[in-house]
Amino acid sequence: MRRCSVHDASGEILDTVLAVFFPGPRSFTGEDVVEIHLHGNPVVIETVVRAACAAGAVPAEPGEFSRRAFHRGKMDLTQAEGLCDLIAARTEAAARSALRQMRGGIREEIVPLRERLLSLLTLQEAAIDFAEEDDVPAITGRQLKERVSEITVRLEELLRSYEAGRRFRDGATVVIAGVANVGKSRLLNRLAGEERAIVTETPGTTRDYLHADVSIGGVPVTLIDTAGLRETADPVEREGVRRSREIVATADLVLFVLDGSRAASAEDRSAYEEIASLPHLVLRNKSDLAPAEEGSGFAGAGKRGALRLSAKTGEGIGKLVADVAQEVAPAEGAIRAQAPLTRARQRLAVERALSALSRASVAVEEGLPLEFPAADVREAAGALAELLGEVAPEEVLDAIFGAFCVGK
Amino acid sequence: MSGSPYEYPKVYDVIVVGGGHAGCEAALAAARMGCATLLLTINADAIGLMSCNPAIGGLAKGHLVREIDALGGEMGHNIDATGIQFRQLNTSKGPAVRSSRAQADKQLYRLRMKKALEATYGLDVKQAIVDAVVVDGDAAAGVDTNLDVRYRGKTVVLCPGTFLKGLVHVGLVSYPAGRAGDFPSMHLSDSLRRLGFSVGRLKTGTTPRLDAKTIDFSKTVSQEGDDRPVPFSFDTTEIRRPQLPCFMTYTNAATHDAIRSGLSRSPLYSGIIKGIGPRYCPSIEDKVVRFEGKERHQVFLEPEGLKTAEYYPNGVSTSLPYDIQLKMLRTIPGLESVEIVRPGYAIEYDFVDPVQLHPSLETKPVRNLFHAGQINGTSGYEEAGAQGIVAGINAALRVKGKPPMVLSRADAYIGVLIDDLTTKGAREPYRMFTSRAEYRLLLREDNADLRLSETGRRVGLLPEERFRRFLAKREGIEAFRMRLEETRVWAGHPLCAAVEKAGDSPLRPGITYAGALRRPGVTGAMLLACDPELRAATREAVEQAELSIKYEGYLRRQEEEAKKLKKYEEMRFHPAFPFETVPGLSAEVRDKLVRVRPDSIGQAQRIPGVTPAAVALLLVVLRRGGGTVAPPTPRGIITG
Repeated sequence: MRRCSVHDASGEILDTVLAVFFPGPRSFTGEDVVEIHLHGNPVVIETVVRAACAAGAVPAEPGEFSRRAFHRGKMDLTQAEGLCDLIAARTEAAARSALRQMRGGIREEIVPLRERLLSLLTLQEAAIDFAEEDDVPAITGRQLKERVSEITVRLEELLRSYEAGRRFRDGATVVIAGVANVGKSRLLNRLAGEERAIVTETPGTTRDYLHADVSIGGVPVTLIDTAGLRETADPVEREGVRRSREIVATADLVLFVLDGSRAASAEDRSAYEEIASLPHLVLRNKSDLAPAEEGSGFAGAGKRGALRLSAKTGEGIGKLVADVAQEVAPAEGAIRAQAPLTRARQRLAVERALSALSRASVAVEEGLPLEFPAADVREAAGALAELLGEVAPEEVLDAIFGAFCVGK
Repeated sequence: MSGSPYEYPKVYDVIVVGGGHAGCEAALAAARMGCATLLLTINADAIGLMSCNPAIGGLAKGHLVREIDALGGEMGHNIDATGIQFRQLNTSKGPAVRSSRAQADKQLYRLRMKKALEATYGLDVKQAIVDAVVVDGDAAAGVDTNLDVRYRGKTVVLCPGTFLKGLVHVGLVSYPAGRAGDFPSMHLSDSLRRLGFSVGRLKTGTTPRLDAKTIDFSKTVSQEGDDRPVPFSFDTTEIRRPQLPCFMTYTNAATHDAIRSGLSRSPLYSGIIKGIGPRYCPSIEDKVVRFEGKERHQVFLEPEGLKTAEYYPNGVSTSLPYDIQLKMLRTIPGLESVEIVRPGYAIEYDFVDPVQLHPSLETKPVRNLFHAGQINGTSGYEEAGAQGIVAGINAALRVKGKPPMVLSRADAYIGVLIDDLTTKGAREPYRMFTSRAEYRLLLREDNADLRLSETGRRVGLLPEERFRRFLAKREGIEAFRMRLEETRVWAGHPLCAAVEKAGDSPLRPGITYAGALRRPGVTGAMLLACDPELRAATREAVEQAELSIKYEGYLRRQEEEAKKLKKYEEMRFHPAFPFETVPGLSAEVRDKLVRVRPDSIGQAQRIPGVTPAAVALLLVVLRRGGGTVAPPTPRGIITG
């Protein structure tokens, strides 16, 4: 690191800076890299960047540094994906998970499994190609099945981590549903901690949906407030209701809101039926008002029972957040133990490996000759290599690097 | 070269240098394709000589012989006509890894091959030592011999085997020879170096040959060949020659002690031999040193022919001093009073880095020059023959102005062999294994003709009459398969009873023969036993239809993989693609690309050390046009 000054072509000093030299191949990209730390004034930065470009520099394209690091073998594909996720992480837990992946968490899981597959394959191939030699042990079907099933167990664990990993990366969608004027918008605002939706006492004010991004249990949660689920003749409102239904159908969790100050209506019941098959919690809002008489009717059947709360005063909101966290956040173990799979690409590769291994087991059971399960084991090893990006089709690379949105 | 050479008046289309297993296939292919062909050999008595093991085939090698045969080559015919023991290997395993192997009568094999050359119209055989390749511009134009004769040729195929600066070692004694008993070729590799080739040094070795009357066979275990010998060539209907047994014995602690006592005078262990030997075919001293804990090593005593007493002790290749060879052999049961006819020896020789070849086996530095066999770093007659036929075909196609024949990894073991060589180079003598073929389930001995006959015909090598027989066979297979797909089994069909008798769950009524065959317990033989009408089909038709139905899922998956391969093979680099200046590549990857100069993205992917990331980068450059224009037409890939 060195203190020095930056000149433009005419020799004028633009700024005094700190310059850090990272010699390749041990730099981030593997190339020789110099970082220039300027004084923070945007005008100064702009001037220096312009001078650098005038001297022949080219601004980095999105993902350029990562791509260069990947091209020079400084990281594998899962690590590049981890970095990409780290940059895009919306919560602390998501960032931690991405960091683990970037530092090679998935690699650490996959490499030993792949090595076990390759050593199994070596035994199979030796039994085939060196059958005439007197000292090559034949691998029995039972040994083969045992080894395949050990590896299968590990891969299945990894596959289960996908749900957790995906949650951190893609987050969860929590939809607030219920008939009009039960306080859905106020609940959204309460959870989001700011005035988002227009709150009035007229039913059907929320014609479209409104949303807020919050972090619950480390998971980036998109809260969506839907238009009241009700039959209506107003075409605009009807459109809103239709869209609400679509959104509700794709929700990871539905918060079904009842007005706790009145008895449930037939409308409440029919709205509830629409979401009853989805994961949901039932909330009895307006606990600040006098409660309707219990037993006067419907209280929903949310799996945690109906939660009384007041969006207006905040009563019961802490408990709601905890309940939501339990529903959407992955089990602790899934995050701690390993870097979970986060992408469909990774999941597909593991699934491909698993189905090849299951074919290998069937082949052994059916007494197929040795070269057939060997083909399966080879395919499974190939799928894991693809997961690490050791053999990667072009489309995969394009997709990954296209997703980088900043310079790293 | 002193003064100007005598220029031979005839100008050849194809000049083949070397009369070994590569040279013979190359010369026969070129001449049979109608080219005026000259084969030059250092010793016309040694054409087609089996310098080492008197056997053809073996695991994965049998596949190569079948493929040579399917293209219209000679090796399969030659071994069928001169084999003295035929065996199917890996019969306990599946159809893809079964291989044929046969002991040959060494002298008959050589004489029959020589006769095949002599009987071919348009093929001249001459004895000469070739000192240099004559080049006109950037293209080969002929060869010069040590007698100052210049033969002009439009193309030249080099198949010099172990002869390039061959150096024979027995103990601490060494002498220049192409093989024990033959002149070496002392100048040809220098000529190649001058032309810009990168020349390296490899080593191989052979066993002593033993006198049968001094062997006590009663102390060994005899191993007979198969009762019904299966021929190599798709042309041969039956093997009629008398069959001989081989004999098995073992080394022991005394053998290993004797070997250790001679290590100080071993050229391998005293550092005299610099060339790299084959890991897969180690000398006995290598085995004893590297696998110290192993108590015994297998030795097969193989007859060298019907009319000779010489035996080849397979497993004891050695370059130990003569006295140690004798001492070591005499510790082996059955060999207590053995007499050595010829000692074992090691031989070092020059080879040319095969990454300097196109997949057609034409060299990159010199146009119209082709290399085949050990010069490319391979070992084995079958590997040599496979390259020979490819080089011969492609030299002939060049003369005719046609695009080359390139076999891919999904077409043939030959494709795997050549792709491995041209992509990875050879750090040790290369031997074929079935595990090298990623599409192994598709590349079987039994379907070599189905894979390659059309290619053989298209290039003009496979005779028309034989191609017609092939087509009839293929139709028979398809018809039989259709029949299996269409015939249904109803209650009371003998097959139902057969299945239940075998302990399987009952067949669903209305299931087709094919459907039944997909069950693990049902075989083609069962179908034939239950339905006399099926027995009219040929053995091949039953075999092929059964395989294609029984293993359909596996075959389909490999076919899909093969399609992906093809896609990447078709993304081709212009010959002048600037690998040197592609931005973003690490220096290490760039060096590798520059060394190999891959023809396609597919090949680039397979270069060890070239990362997928680097390949992605190449793709980007290729898509953008890469500063060069893509070739107007894809190079002539002819696939089976």
